[in-house]
Parts: sequence; structure tokens; C-alpha cells
Amino acid sequence: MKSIRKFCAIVVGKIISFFAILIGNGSGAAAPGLVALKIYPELITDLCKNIEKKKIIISATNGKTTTATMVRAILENNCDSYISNQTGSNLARGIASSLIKSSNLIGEFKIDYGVFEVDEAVLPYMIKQIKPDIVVLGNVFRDQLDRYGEIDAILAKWQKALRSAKPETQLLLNGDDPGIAGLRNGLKLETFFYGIDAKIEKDEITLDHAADSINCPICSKELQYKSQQFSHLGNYQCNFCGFKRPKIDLLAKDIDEKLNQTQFDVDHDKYEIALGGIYNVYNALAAIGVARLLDISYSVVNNSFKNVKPAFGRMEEFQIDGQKYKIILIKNPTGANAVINILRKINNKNILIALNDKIADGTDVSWIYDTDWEKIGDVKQIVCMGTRRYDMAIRLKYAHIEIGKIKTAVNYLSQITSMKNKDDYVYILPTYTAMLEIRSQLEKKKIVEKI
Amino acid sequence: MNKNKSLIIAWLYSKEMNLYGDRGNIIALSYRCKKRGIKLDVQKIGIGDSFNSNKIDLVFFGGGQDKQQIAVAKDLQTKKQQIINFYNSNKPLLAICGGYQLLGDCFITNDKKKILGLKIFNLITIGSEKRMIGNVVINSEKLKMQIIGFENHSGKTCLEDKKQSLGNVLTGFGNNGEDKTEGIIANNFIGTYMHGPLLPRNPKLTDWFIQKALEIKYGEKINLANIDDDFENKARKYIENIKK
Repeated sequence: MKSIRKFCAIVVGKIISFFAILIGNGSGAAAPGLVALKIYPELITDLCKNIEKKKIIISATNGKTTTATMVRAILENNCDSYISNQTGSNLARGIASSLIKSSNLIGEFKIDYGVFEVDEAVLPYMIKQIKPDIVVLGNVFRDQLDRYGEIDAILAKWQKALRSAKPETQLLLNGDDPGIAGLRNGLKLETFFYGIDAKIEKDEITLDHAADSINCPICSKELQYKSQQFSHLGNYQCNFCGFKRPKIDLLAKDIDEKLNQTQFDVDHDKYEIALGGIYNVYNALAAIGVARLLDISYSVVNNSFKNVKPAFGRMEEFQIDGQKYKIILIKNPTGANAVINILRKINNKNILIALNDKIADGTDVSWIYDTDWEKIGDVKQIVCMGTRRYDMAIRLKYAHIEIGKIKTAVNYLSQITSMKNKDDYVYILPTYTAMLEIRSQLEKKKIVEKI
Repeated sequence: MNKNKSLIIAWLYSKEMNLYGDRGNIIALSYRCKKRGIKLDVQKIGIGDSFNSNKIDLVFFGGGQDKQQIAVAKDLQTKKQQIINFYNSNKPLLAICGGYQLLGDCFITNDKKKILGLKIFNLITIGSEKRMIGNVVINSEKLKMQIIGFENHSGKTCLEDKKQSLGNVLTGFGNNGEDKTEGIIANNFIGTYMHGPLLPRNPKLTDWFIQKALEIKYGEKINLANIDDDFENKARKYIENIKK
């Protein structure tokens, strides 16, 4: 009976996948898995048994996709085979879909590693289903609170799930995030921490506005910080119960940041990634950590970073009639603030913000008020698009952008092609489903590649 | 005609109780005051800070995570008398979610713990397993306006007198998902579950607060100059159409 259900689940999944590709929309990444899991709920556990070496789960509010992309690049460069879920498709249905895609009709496939990017809300479920060998946890930020409730609740659920994980599970945790570091308490799993060495440490600093989880995860009193990388990440300690940033096993030093490239040292090894932003150093550290646990050499790792360009929609560039455009995905205050920080010094910017409120974007758009649009700097105009374009326009008005510079529009293709800026990019800042819609229209005109 | 007037707003527990873009409410008040030449001073008053009713014209009290709410509830009791004075002087206050709950009688958590409130609002809140999340549209007869927002709470609030509610629910759950009431209005204190954030999306409501604060402070009828609220009107149409 079980094997019949399994067979049906796989067949149905494959059929749906076939039609989804024909129709050509983004739901092809999730619909097959959604239906298959209804037919055979144990699908993920069962199919994961095919993975011969290690199963790796990566979760975080920000950076899951980039970290997973880096790990995949490392494995490819090391001539290992892997199965992975499609970027952004990180709920159970997305993972199930990717497993179905790789397997034959009776659920078999031959593969070395599993690399799964997992949404924060389903991490406990995925730990049960996948039974990972390595769990990478990058950070927890204020993001899509309408789906998850509260940060403390997420961390509590994660810790509960880790307590029932198999004893050989190895943890790779971002030690600069107190909520993440606090997860280790009471667990008997082998744990490694990564983090960034601060250039300057003070006795006490105050955190910037969008910081979450500033309370001690052990005793709930306010944490003190000696240094801060951004938001609540840095070197922290609790003066009440003694909880503090743990000893960091993988410490990045001497960071040299540029818009499209960053260099840093770990244990005297020099690394270079083709991405800007401190948050990408954390992503790289997580990938380096996974490589070490898999005994992959430094040179293979550093070489593979050359192949990691910004993931689709994240920092993607394209051109129309000689005008350059850059798509920079935004989804929560921390990420959006980092983008604003990169753009602020550029003058006379032409910007398109596409704010959707579908399930994958988060139906609560209030996060735009925790984002510091006031700091966007000099703009020529900002065009607001997406389902919540008027709310974005309201936000910009209250951020003291001149009302005359705020526009709204509906049709992506005609709006994008009409936006020009000599000698500079036109910057497109979409939320996730808006990014898919934009790409879909651009793909039809063959301006960008189909994923 | 309102130039050179000024207001002081106390932002209660801005550190601990500041979720879902709540600071947007302060941003909206600041913007709309500035446009009319009114100086708005924002004072952050937190745990251990004193609250002096005489020195404040308007109060904002936001929402927070369950853990922070317990520490805040304790400190709130030390400010009780002053907040009651504020209430009795008819000064305006906006309390959202956690702030709203803590101004009531008490909050009974899922593990049957009782957190005492200030008993200014006649209501109790009971924690539930179900989370009430989504867009909200209410009709407020008292304020003669429709108000839109976004709720995200598991506490079910029951008013002792339903006639005190801020409005009746057209879309969404409201206070408890059962009796179609949302929020509360008593004197010039408004309590509600509506995030959004609330004030940027409801400019008429923002102006109501500014007007009330100025009228109490200066003892005269106040008229506020118009502001171009075209985006807000269009945003409102989008939300109101969702339920259809």
C-alpha cells in the first residue's frame, strides 16, 4: 500500500511538473510537491534515503539562498553530485518537488549530497523529515512576521526541534547572532560557530533601529554590545547571567568591501567573493564551514566562489537598448536597509520599487516602516509598483521624498523600458513575487534568461 | 493659524514595544504636524523612566513580543497614577495590540498566568492557540470614519461594554473573532489591534489625534490645513476591495 502511494505521488508530481513547465510560470517549483505530499506524506524522508553522503539543511531569515548557492558551487567544483531545491522554493512542497524531479518512478536516484534551503517556519518539520547530518543556521531577523508570529517563538521551536535531532547531527551556527548562538544551550550536538572580527570594539554601543532579539536568549535581560556588524549581529554579552558571544571557530578578519566584490581572511587563508555587503561574508563563512565539515580543501572553496554571481533577482543585471538595469531583491528591513546603504551615495537615482503582498512576500507590508527610506539619498524619481504600490508611495511621502518625485505604475514592461538614466543603472527593488513577475515579462521579450 | 503651536508626544516603551512597523505611527504624526507648522517633540519613555501627565500632550503605546510584555506590565504599574490622570484630563492616547491589552483589566496567558493591566479599559484579554492575522476594515460610528489596518494577535479581547468599541468589523477578526467589535474608545483613549501601521494609512485618524491634543492643550477649536492624501485614498480603495 505504501509503495503504491509512493509511486502515485511521484507520478502525479512528475505530471504536474511537466505541465507547469509547459505553461511556464514559477509555480512549477512548488505545485508538484504540494500534491505529492498529500498523497504520500512520508515522501521527503523516503526519497532522502537515496542520498549517499551527507544531507545539509540551511536556514536563516536572510542569506539562505546565497549560502546554498555557494555550497552548491563548492560541491560542483569538488566534482560531487548533489540534489537541491530550487532557489526560493524552500517550503516542504518545494523540497518535495526537487526530490521528485531527481528520482525515477519508483523513487530511486544516485546522489552524493543533499543541500536544502529551508524556510524558517518549516525548519522543525524538515529536521524530522530529512534527518540532516549538518544544520546551518545563519540568523533570525524581523521578517514576514505575519507568517511566523514572533522571533522568540521561532527560536523556541528551533531549539525544540534540535533537541530531537539525531545525536550525530553537526551544527554550524552564526555566533554573531545571539538568538542563534543561544540555541546551543542544553543541546549535546557537535557545534561550530562562525563570525566576523570587529575592527573596533567599544565598551558599549547602541544598536540601530531595526535590531531584533536584543534580549538575552537565556535570561531575557537586555544585551550589551562591544561591537556591531549590523542589526543585532556583533559581539554581545549579558551582564546579568553571563551569556556572551561564544568562541568563534571560523573568524573572518581584514574585510575589504566593494560594491561587487569582498575579500577577507579566515585562519590566514585569503578568500574573495564576487558579492558586496557584509551579510555576504556571513554567507560565505557558512559555506566555508560546510566545506570544512566535508573535508573540502581551501583552494577548491576559494575557486568556486568565482562562480557565485548574485542569484537570480538578487543583484541581477540586464540591458535594454543600451540602458543598464539592476534588480535587487528586498524582503525585510535588514536586507532593504543594506540595499539603501549601498545606493545612498549615488546621485540622481532612478528607482523602481515593486511591493507585493502575496504569501511569499509576506502579507503584512508594515516592514516598510522599519526600513529607513529616509536615508535613500538623492533621487530623480521613485516609481512604486506592485499590489501595494500606494502604501509604498505613502511611505516615501512620509520619508520626506518630494511628492512630485513619487509615481505609481502598473505595467512592468512599459514602465521599465521608459526609465532611463545616462551613465548609471536604473535600480529595480522588488519583493519576491514582484521579482518573478518582472522576470517573467522580461523573459517573454528575451531580455533575461529563463531560470 | 496653527504655526508656532507645539506638542509633546510620549512614546511609551519604544524599545520593548515596537513591532510591525509601529514607529510608522510616530512618523505619520511628525509629518502631519510639520506640514502645518506644528512642532512635535517625541519623548521616549521606557522602563524606569518617569511619566508626568502634565508635561505630555499625546501618548503612543505600541505592541511587543510576549516576553517583553511581562517586563513592561510590571513597570507600567509604577506609571499607573499618571496615566489615569492623563485619561481623566481627556488627553489623547493610542494603544496598539500589547499596549491596548495592558491598559485593560488583565491578560490571561495560555499557561493560565494572569498579567495585571492598568484597568483603564474595561476589558480582559485571554490568550488563545489561534492567531488572528490579516487585513482589517472597520466602520467607526463614533469617529465617523472607516479605518483600515492589519492585525496579528492571538489574544482574544472581550469588552465589558460592547458599545465602547472603536468600530464594527467589516473585514477581519477584530477583538476576538466572534462579536465583530474592534478596539475600544473611552474618553480620548483609543485601543486597537490594528497595525499596518495604523496612522500612515488613516490620515483622518492621525489628524483626529493631532486635533484633540491641540484642543486640550490650547483650549480652542482647532482646524487643520489640508494635506494631499491622494496615495492614502487609493491605498484604502485597494484594501476595501479585497473583501469583495
